Amino acid sequence: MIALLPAMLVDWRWPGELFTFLRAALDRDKDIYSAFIGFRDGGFVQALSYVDSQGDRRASDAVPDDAVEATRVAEDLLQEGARPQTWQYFDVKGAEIEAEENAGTTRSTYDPRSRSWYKAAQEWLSASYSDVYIFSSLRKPGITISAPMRNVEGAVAGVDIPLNHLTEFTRLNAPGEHGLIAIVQSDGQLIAYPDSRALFRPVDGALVVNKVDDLEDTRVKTAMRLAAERGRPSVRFRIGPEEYLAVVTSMQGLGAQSWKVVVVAALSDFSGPIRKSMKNSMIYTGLIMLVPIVVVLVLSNWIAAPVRAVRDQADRIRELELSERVSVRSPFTEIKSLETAMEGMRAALSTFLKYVPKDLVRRLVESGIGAEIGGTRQDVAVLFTDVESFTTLTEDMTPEAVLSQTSRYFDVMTSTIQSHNGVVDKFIGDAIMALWNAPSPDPNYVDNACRAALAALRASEDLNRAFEAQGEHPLRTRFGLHVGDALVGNVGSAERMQFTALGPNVNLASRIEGLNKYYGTQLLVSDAIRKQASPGFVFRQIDVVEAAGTTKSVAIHELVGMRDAGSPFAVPPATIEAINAYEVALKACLAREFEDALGLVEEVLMENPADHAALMLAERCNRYIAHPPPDDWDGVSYFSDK
Amino acid sequence: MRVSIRVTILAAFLLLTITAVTTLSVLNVTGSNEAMRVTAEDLIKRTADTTVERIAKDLGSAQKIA
Repeated sequence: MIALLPAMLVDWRWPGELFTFLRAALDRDKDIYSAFIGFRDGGFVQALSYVDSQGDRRASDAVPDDAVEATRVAEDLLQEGARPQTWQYFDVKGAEIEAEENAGTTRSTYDPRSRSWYKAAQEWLSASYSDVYIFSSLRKPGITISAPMRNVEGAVAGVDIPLNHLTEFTRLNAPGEHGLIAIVQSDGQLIAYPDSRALFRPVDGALVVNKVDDLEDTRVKTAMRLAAERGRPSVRFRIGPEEYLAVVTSMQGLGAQSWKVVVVAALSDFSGPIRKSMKNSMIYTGLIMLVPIVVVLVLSNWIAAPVRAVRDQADRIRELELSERVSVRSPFTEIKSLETAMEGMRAALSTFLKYVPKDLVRRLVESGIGAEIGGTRQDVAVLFTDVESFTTLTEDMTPEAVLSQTSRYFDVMTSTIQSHNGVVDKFIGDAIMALWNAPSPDPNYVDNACRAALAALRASEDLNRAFEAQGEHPLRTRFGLHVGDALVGNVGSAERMQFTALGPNVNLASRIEGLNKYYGTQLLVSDAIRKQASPGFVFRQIDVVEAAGTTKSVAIHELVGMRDAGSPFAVPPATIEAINAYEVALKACLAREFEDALGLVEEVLMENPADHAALMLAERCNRYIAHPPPDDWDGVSYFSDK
Repeated sequence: MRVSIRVTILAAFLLLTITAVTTLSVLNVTGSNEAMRVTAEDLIKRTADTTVERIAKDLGSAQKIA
C-alpha cells in the first residue's frame, strides 16, 4: 500500500502528507511498530510507535514520557559525515508534543541504502522478508518487510514487525502440557519459541538470535533432523523415557529463508489420562472382584463342606466308630446319594461288628495284616479266664437272667482287658481268651498282661459284690496267664476266618488257668511270665507241674499284686514276708526236706490259716513224711485232667 | 497332585476372571493407544496448520501495508 503511493507524495523534503499516511499505517496494524521509506539519495522518512501491541514500551532516553508515536526525517547525504535528522513526537491523542531539529547536536549516520531490506527489494523488485534480527530498542526479534516503490524510482517502502506475538502464540497454543511450537528459519535460526528468553543471547554487547542448536531442549532439533532424514513431515521419536510426535511444516515465499513450523507433542499428555483411567479401572475391577471371590468361597465351601463331612464319616467307619450317625446336609444330589450309601454301609458294619471283636478288627486294620489264611510265629501273652462252677450256678436261672448277667460280666472283663492294650480273641462259653503283642506289637506286653489280669480280677470282685447286692450269684473268675511263641494269624477257611493264636503255649495258658481249681488260687501265671515281668510285680511260686496234655514241667506262680505302695494292687509287706516264707518251705519240700518244709509252712498257716496253697503244701509234706517218695521223685506234680 | 474342590473352583473363577479382564484391558489399551495416537497426530497437524495460518495472516497484513 505504501509502495503504491503516487510520486507527488513521496519526497522526504516535504514529508507532511507522507507522515500522515505512515502514521495511519501504524494505526491500522498494531503489530507494526515502524513504517518507513528509504530514498535513492539516502533520504529516509519513518513513522514509529513507542508502544507495541503487547504494551511494551520502546527504550529511548530522549523520548518524552507521554509520547506514543514519532516521525523522523533523515536528510540526504550531500553533507559530509553525519546528517541532520528531525523528530516529531505525538501523545496518545495524536497531538504533537515537541518538535526538535537536531542539526547541530544529533546527527545520524544511518544510510537506508546499505540495509538489507533496501537491497533485497531493489534486487527482487518485489516484497522481501528480512532474516530475523533483534530490534535493539525493543530487545525483541523481528523482521522487516520491504517493497520497491512503484512510482518513485530507487525508493523502497518497508515496515518493521516484532515477532513477539508469534512467541506468545507458541507459548499459549502448545499441544499438551509437555508439547511445544517453534518457528524456525530453514538455517536453524529461531523465530518464535515458547520461552522468549531462549530466543537470543548477548554477544559482545549485542543481542544475537539463537539457533536451534543453541537450545538445551533438543526436541525441535531432533524433530527437524528426523523429518529431513525421513522426507516426511510427521515423525515419532523418544527422548529419555518420553515419546514424542512431531510435525514439521515448511512455509515458502518469505524471503531468502523458508520458515518451518515445528509442533511437538508428548504422547504421555494424551496417554496419561488414559493410563490413569486404566489404573482406576483395574483398582475398581479388583474391588468388584472381591464380591464374587467371596461368593465363590461360599459356593465352594457349600460343595466342599458336605464332602468333607462324608469323608469324616468314612474315616469314622474305618476306625469302626459306628455309633454316631452323621447327617450331611447338601443340596447336591450326588453328595446326598453318597451320604445315603455311606449311612447304609455304617449300619451294615455296625450290625456286623456285633459278631466280631471290634477292637481286634481295628487293630488288624491298623497293623495292615491282610484278611488271608496264614500266620507267623511270634511271642504273645495269652490269658484264659473261666467262671468257677458256672454251669452249677446257672442251673436255677432263666436263660434271660443268665444272658443278662453274663453280658454285664463280659462287658466289664472285655473293657478291662482292652484298656490294658489286650485283645479279646474269643469267648468260649463263659471263658475268655485274650492276647497281648498281637496283632499289633506292644513292647510292654507282659507287664500289660499282668496288670490286665490283676485289674480284671479286681473288677470281677467288684462286680460280684454288685451281683450279690442285687441277689444274684457272684461269678468267681479264675485266670491263667502264660507267655511264649505261638502261631499268630488268620485261621479257618477262605469264606470265614478268625484271627487267633495257636500252639502249645496257648494250650499251656489254658491248662494253667485250670490249675487254679486244684490249688484254690484265682490268678496263676507261668514261670515265663514271672521271669519276663518287671520286678514291680509280686509273685508266689505255687508248685512245679506237668499239666495235662504237656510233656514239660513248668513252675507255676500266683500273681499276687505289685510292690509299689501307690498301686491299686499294692501288696502289704506282711503278705510279702509270708510269700517269702512259703517259697522257702516249697523249696525245702522240693529238696526232700519235708520236715523242715512242714515247719516253715505251718508258720505261714499260723498267719493265714485259710491259705489253701499252704494247706496243700503242709498236707503234701505230712504225706511224704509218712510215706517218703521214691528215689527218682523229681518234685513235679503231674496232672492228667484238663 | 491333589487339590481341594474349594481351591479348584476359586482357581477356575480367578483364571476366568483374570483372563477376561486381561483380554479386555489389552483390547482397551490397544484401542486407547491407537485413538490417542490418532488424536495426538491430528492435534499437532491442526496446531501446525493454525500456526501457519497465523503467520500468514500476520505477515500478510504487514506485507499489504508495505
